[in-house]
Amino acid sequence: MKEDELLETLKAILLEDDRLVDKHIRSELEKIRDELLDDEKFGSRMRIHRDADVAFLKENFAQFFGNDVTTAIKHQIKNSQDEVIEALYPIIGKLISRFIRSEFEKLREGIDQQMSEVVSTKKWKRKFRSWISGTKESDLLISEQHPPSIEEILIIQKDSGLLLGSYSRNETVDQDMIAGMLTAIKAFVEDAFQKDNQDLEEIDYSSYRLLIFNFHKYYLTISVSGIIDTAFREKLSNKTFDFAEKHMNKNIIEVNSDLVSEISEKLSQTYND
Amino acid sequence: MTEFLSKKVILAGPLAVGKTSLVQKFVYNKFSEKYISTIGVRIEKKVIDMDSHKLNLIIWDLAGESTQKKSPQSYFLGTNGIIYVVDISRPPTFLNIQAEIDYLKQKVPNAPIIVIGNKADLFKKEELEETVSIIPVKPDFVTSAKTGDLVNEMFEELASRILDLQTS
Repeated sequence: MKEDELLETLKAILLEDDRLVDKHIRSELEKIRDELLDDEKFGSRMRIHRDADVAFLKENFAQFFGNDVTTAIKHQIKNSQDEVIEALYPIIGKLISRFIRSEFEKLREGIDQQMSEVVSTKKWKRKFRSWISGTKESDLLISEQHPPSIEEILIIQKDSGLLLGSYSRNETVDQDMIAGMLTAIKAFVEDAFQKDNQDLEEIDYSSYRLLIFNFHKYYLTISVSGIIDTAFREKLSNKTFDFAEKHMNKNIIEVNSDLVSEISEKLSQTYND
Repeated sequence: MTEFLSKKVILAGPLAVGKTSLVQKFVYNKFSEKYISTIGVRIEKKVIDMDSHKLNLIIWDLAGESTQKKSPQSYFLGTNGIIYVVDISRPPTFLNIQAEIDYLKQKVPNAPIIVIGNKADLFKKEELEETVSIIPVKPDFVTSAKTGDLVNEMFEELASRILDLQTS
């Protein structure tokens, strides 16, 4: 045997195993290539994994992404407040309009019911009250549906805006600061229109009305909820002028806690009925 | 017995000198770098203990104006004390200080006025004296709303002057 042939035979013996491995790898690669190029086979394998992942994520979404989603939403709302408000406005508007419609319905039903009480003593009493007070019967009817109620009274020194006394049915924010702010608003409005001897007398906010009674050195604000009719307004005016005459007829030099307590107590005695 | 008294105090001065920041530092011990211009007036309150009095300070933080003549005149009525603030880093805020203070004295003759040079934190200690020396009216306090330097002290000084005036 020639030397070359011998070398070839030796190589064949030595590399037999490697060749088998190589052949096996090639065949495996072929299979993988076929699977990758075959859309159906590759797709079905991927679907299995994808479905498993999706199911896992569905189950654990809150745990993995809850905080991120919350942060993203907060961020988005903060950065697009105007858009959010624009989007919510019509919805809130519809809700309010529905609420008002329903309240009007109730009001109408109440008035209808009262009107139908032809022979009731209530009706004759109302007619009598209307005749005595000069208030329209229709105003009395409406006011009976939402009777006016005093929520808060503040007596405020006119120039300084310092609180001289208060009466409140509920806990409110700091009354000293409300007194100051009201005085600033009043001063601004009165300055802006620059009409001599004209005072701001009323402020409407939401379902409340702020009635302002102006005196020389101080003013008194009464916050009222419900519907104010002429009779209530007149009663309140009379009570306020009586209060002023009886309890505020003094020269206030300094605003101290004794003065504030004394006036607050008188307010409570006068208006708490 | 401690007497509890309410007093109206006004903070006046040009735009962006730090009036609101001084009030926020004094009332809430807070400071923000963000500048939000005051519209009209802001009302704050703080009760401070003086020797024999508890003083309920109702603080009117007025919107900054180039001259106090532009502020609504009725805001000055019934005022017990005034803090006039300038920005020591911006000379235009104190060029007319004498005229402004004269005007306030004429508007509220019986109220003590304290002059404040604010934003001391923008200067090194050694630069401060020279900077303040160019202000035509010597400030009673050179404060920093940012660091809180002398903020409480200047309100306490005003409170003390208000009480002195009342007892004299």
